[in-house]
Amino acid sequence: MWRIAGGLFLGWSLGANHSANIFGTAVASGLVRFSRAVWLTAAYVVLGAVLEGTKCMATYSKLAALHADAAFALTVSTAVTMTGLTRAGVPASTSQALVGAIIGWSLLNASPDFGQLSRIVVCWLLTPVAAMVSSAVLHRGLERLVVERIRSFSARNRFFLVGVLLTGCYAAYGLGANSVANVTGVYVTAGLLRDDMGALLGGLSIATGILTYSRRVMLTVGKGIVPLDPFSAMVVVLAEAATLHLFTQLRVPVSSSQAVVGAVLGVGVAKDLKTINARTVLKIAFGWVLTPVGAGALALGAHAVMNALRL
Amino acid sequence: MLKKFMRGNRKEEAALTAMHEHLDLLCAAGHTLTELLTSNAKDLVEKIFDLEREGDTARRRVLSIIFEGAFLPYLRPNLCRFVELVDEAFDTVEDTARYYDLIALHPSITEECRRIASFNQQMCEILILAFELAVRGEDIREQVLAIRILEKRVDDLKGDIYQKIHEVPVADFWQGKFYADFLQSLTAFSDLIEDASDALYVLTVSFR
Amino acid sequence: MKLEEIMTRKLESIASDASVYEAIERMVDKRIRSLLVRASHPAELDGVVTARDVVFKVLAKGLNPMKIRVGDIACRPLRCVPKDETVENVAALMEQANVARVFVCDGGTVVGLVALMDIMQAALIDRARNPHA
Repeated sequence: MWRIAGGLFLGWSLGANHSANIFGTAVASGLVRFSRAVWLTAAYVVLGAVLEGTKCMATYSKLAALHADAAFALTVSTAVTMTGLTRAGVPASTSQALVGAIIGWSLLNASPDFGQLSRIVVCWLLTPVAAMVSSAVLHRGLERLVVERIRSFSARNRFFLVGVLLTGCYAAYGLGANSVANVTGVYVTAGLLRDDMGALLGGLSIATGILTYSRRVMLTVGKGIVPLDPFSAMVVVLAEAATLHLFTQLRVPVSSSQAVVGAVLGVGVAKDLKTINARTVLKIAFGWVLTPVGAGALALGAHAVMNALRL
Repeated sequence: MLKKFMRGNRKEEAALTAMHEHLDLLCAAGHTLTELLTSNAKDLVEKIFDLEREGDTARRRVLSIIFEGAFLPYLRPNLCRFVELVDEAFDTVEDTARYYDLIALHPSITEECRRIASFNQQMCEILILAFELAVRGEDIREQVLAIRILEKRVDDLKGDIYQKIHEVPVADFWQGKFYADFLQSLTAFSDLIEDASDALYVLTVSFR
Repeated sequence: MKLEEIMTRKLESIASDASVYEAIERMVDKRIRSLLVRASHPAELDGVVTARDVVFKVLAKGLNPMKIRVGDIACRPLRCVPKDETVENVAALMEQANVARVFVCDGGTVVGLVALMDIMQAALIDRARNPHA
């Protein structure tokens, strides 16, 4: 049972890093108080994990057969990769790291299911695209429907405040539903946990990360997005939430950070602004390659070492 | 939730009402100043002082409501800037009245001073209109332009006055100082109103 | 809106006996485009000289502005409107006569000048004050 600690640690770091994508802008600009933001995020992450978190877990079990030790090694190498990439400022994805690790691990003995893998990779590529399209559409649509009708100063002020809270909660729900599989999915695959238990424990570990260690990231990430106007900031979070929710229904864990980047780009399209440069795109593409490869290499190494020690 | 929704709105409404009051008082003071320069009834000076005190109270009320958390944080700096600019304009009206009380306005520049006061009053009225439109979420660029035009007019009149000012005899140093201060505060009003209208414009744009 | 509120009261004038060069100097100094030409002889009428007259009638023809009297190139008679005339009527008059400025008269004396720019600004202020008109 101690092996679950690896997953819980991964959940903790996921919560600490990814909660910034939800209320980061709102907190950095003083719209929502930090304490309120983290409690709301934590609560909705757990809710999302418990209600819909099991949907993505099956994907991991289809990818490769795993045993308990493997699950521990995988989560730890994922956590290490994530820490390194986050420090390098690459919008890295936990699910990409984990999938890379699973593939790397399975290279030594059982062959992974490459059909399942290609399905996952296609979803990764589609994540920023889907977020971009949905944020562009939402921006155009909501602007016509709501912002042009709510014109009075105080009413619009209220609309933004409530809107930011609601979309934030939805995004937290989506994050919980989509990414809890990253945290405990491999343990469920390994048979160490029942899937509903896995969802609950994973959700709680993400929530712990949010509650204990998200302040610094939230402030730095949030300040990076602030140049957006309040309406666009709200649309970005809503598009991110919708994207995460969509891929949860497709049962594939994807990257919330990359969804955010795509959504910001979509707002740029809708408003005819240049919100993103070639360097950012390059960085994402770089992350797509580096994240799975790095984690895969680590897992492969760990597998080799463990095999050597046993023998 | 719905109840909280409404209560939240009330705070913003209260701030906007207080801001409107502040502007109304400024216009009343501007109107009184025009009257003072035309009628020379010096008891109007006291009335302007009273209006300024009331305006100060209104300003403090606005700022404390905003400080208690009315409006999105994005908007607060510009809202406060607007209120401060209006208040500075208020101070110039008070100063103008105070110095006017201490000097005897020379006939050669009386007409220009009266016209400046009248332009100031017009600018203030347009600013109120712009504020009302902005609060309803409407475009205020026409009002901002009108204020700019009037400011330019005041500037031209100021130039005329400074060309003629040599003809004005000055009894002693203090007379001269009060004269200069009077003209300074009379003409500073329009600049502040122009800045306030710009701040208001930025506010409406940042809300889109 | 009354004409009195929008007109320029400060009139720059020049004697009709002065040279065109002096007129140019005055316009450049004061950054204005026209001067009221006061008749120097009882037989002459008051007139107006604009930058247009200076350029078309003197400079573009290669004539020497020092040697020409302002009175010889001035437009006469002055286009005068009473000071209680409406802005709309003045604008119509300007369009009809194809001029950019008219003088505002009170009895027999000129008290102000209204130029196209003044009318434009007045219209803008009017629009701003009546946003839904």
